[in-house]
Amino acid sequence: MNAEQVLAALELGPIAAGLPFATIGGRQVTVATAWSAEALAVAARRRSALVVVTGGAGVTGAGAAGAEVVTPAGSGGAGRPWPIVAVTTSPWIARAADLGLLVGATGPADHDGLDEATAAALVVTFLDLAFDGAPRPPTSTRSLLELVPFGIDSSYAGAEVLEAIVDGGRWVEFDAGSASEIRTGVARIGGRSVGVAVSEAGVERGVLSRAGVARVERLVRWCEAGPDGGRPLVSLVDTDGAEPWDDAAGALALRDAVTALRRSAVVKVAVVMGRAVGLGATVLGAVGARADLVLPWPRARFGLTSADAAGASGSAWAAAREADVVDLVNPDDTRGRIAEALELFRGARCYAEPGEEDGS
Amino acid sequence: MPNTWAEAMAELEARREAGRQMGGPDAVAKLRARGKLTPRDRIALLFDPGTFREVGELATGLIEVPGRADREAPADGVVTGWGLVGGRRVMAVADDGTITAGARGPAANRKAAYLRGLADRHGYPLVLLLESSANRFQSMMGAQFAGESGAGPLGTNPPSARWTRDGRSPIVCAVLGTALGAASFQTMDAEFSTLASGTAAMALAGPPVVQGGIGVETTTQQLGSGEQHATVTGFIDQVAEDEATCLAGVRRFLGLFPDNSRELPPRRIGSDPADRRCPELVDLVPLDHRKPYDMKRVVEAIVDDGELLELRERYARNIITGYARIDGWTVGIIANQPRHLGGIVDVKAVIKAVRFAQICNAYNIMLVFLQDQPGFIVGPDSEREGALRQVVRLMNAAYGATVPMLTVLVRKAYGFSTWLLGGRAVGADHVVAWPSGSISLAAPEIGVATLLRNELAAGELSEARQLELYASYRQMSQARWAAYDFRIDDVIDPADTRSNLAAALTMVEGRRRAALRTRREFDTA
Repeated sequence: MNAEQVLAALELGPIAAGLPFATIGGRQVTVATAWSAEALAVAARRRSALVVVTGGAGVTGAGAAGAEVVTPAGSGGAGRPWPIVAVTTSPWIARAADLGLLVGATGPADHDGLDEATAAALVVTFLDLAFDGAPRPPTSTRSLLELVPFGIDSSYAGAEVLEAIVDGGRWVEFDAGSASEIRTGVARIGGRSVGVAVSEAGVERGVLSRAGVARVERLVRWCEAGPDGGRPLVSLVDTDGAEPWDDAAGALALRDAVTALRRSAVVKVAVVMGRAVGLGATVLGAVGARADLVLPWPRARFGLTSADAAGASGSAWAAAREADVVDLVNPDDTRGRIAEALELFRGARCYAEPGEEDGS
Repeated sequence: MPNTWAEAMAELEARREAGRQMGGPDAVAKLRARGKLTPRDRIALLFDPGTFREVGELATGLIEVPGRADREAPADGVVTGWGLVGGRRVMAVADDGTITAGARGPAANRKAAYLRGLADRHGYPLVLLLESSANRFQSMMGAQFAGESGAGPLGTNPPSARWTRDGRSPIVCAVLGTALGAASFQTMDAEFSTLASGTAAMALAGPPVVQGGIGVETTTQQLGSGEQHATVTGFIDQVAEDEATCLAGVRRFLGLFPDNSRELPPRRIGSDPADRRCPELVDLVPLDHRKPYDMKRVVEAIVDDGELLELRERYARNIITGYARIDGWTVGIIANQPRHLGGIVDVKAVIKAVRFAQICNAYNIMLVFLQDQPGFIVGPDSEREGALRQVVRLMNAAYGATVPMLTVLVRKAYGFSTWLLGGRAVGADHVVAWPSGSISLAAPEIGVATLLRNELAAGELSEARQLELYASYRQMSQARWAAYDFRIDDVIDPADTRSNLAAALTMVEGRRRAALRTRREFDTA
């Protein structure tokens, strides 16, 4: 990828020496053409997003200093509300962009194989969605009742549901192409910037693979790094569980994902579109994850196992009857109910409960 | 179970409608005939129109009594949700008196736990509209009783479903029917409580349990009437004549209180000017320290629009506690009432004042003291009542307070209680006195009787000499001497009390902000 062409496509004008401010989508950002500790510090001081566009290795002040700034703590960590956007092939910067967006020509990036113009457009959209803005209605006029058949085994595209719910139908995906049973990204709902996760039940019934769990974990980190207590996490859940991992490392990874979500103080709203089974449901915030609100659709089913979910007691109706969930929602009201909940929890005055029942 | 979206939507609406019917038309009519409102009536009175979002409407309990046909309990006997009160978000749990007298089933408890968890986590007030003989007896008989506590909805599992009393988000209890067991426990720990006299009562256990337990026949009114709680126990902040007045009181309280302990109370500047003079005060307060007057009128003259939300008005009437505004700031008022027992500070007065001060401190509400008191009550009766413990409790509350304290010494300020009721010694930010103010360890008569007790006993102190000494001590006690030494801030014209306090509140506001985010506990009622 040619850095100069990306910069040109961003229409920033000439990049002078030093670290200039530029305006992207009406928002001031700090732009750097090489990764450095200084770039990070300046962006933090300015309280602006940092856009790093490089070719090649793209790290200045390499060696110890370079290594230092790309550690998770150095790259922002929880509480850094101004995202890092990197358009690069540098592996160093790939790590730094864990709390932002990474666009690369090849290799493990959120999006790769893009041409310069598409990469630039993606950066613009991402920087727009990463902050709150004016609410916009979704572009889709199709009823979710048409998009999603009532039968629990029916096939539908989770991403289409997401696009029918979020503002303007726009979202930018993280880790695109990885673990296709779950998709994660950033969007706005009712003007509020949120992290989103949506199951693709058509892929292995939405059963979370190890890579899928990793996607969710990264999304949680992104949400936690947001301003004022973090960005809300909205999940659209239809999963038949998580893959059975019988190796110790896999079990620990799953435990860590569950623990991270349960302990996270960000606002969590889960919509159960279909199945919410086992630890897959927990990783996605639908069961036992201390979500602030769980809104099942009338077709939803809950269970520790697939068999439990299939039984009479697994229906969302039974759960609502027992007040195991506090409501059932008409799918076409989903967007409104999420927006209402985000407004209700806007204060984000969450009191974290560290050390309590970590679910291990 | 529905098989299509159309069936599902129809079923959803049918179930919601069933929930809205509560216990059915007959039960609703019966409740209303007893002068009571349904939970939905109450919610309509409490919340701003059209703002209430109900959740848990689909919950359904099953009432199983041996020998009787099973019955369904729509919404499991409790209406839960959130909405706006005066434009601010509030969570609510309302018992349904049309279903098993408001007794809650397991699903109802999960709903209530969810709302409580949300309120606690997000820092919103929680209003409990109580009409509940605790948990549904038939759902709790047997070993199943072991597992109910702390349960919350499957998806949310709120940790604060556990019992907490840590002064983070206010809980408001309106006792609108019989509140027994858990419902009464909640009320005892509420930041604000109100009870509808006549139709409501609050007690640990109801008549059937009392009859079964100790063989005594009684009524709920005998066990815990509004009158009893207003005058004897002092457990209820506001005993009102009817439910509508109770709910108006709740709205008023919520308007004065912050959403949670991390926030400041909302400031509302009205039409009452901060620099309004109060010339009537000199006529209200006699200079003669022995003459009583109504301190409540003094308070009303000073605060915005004369509006004081007085708490526990008929309990320990020798001290006034309540919320008001001065120049828009919410303040907690603690004022001695010379009209009752000469304003003396007795055990009940301390109990009343301590909890009020603790709550103000927990919620960043500045305290304004108006002192006119002859000191702590002493004597064998008082000692037997545990005066010593209460004095130390007041001491702990006063020295531990981090909110700003402002004090006006109206007349007498005698004894250790002078320090503990907003004295400079406990760190009050602003202490002023009226020219009628008098400060001393003890009243002149007590001082002479203590210091010269031998001479008095021997008859060596003539009456004339005693009067001379009293006059001398009175002269020494004048508040102006304290002002000359800067032991107090100033001696002010009573007419300037309001403007003086308004200026001081603005001055100390920064300190209040600095004290935010401290978590504090307070006592049970």
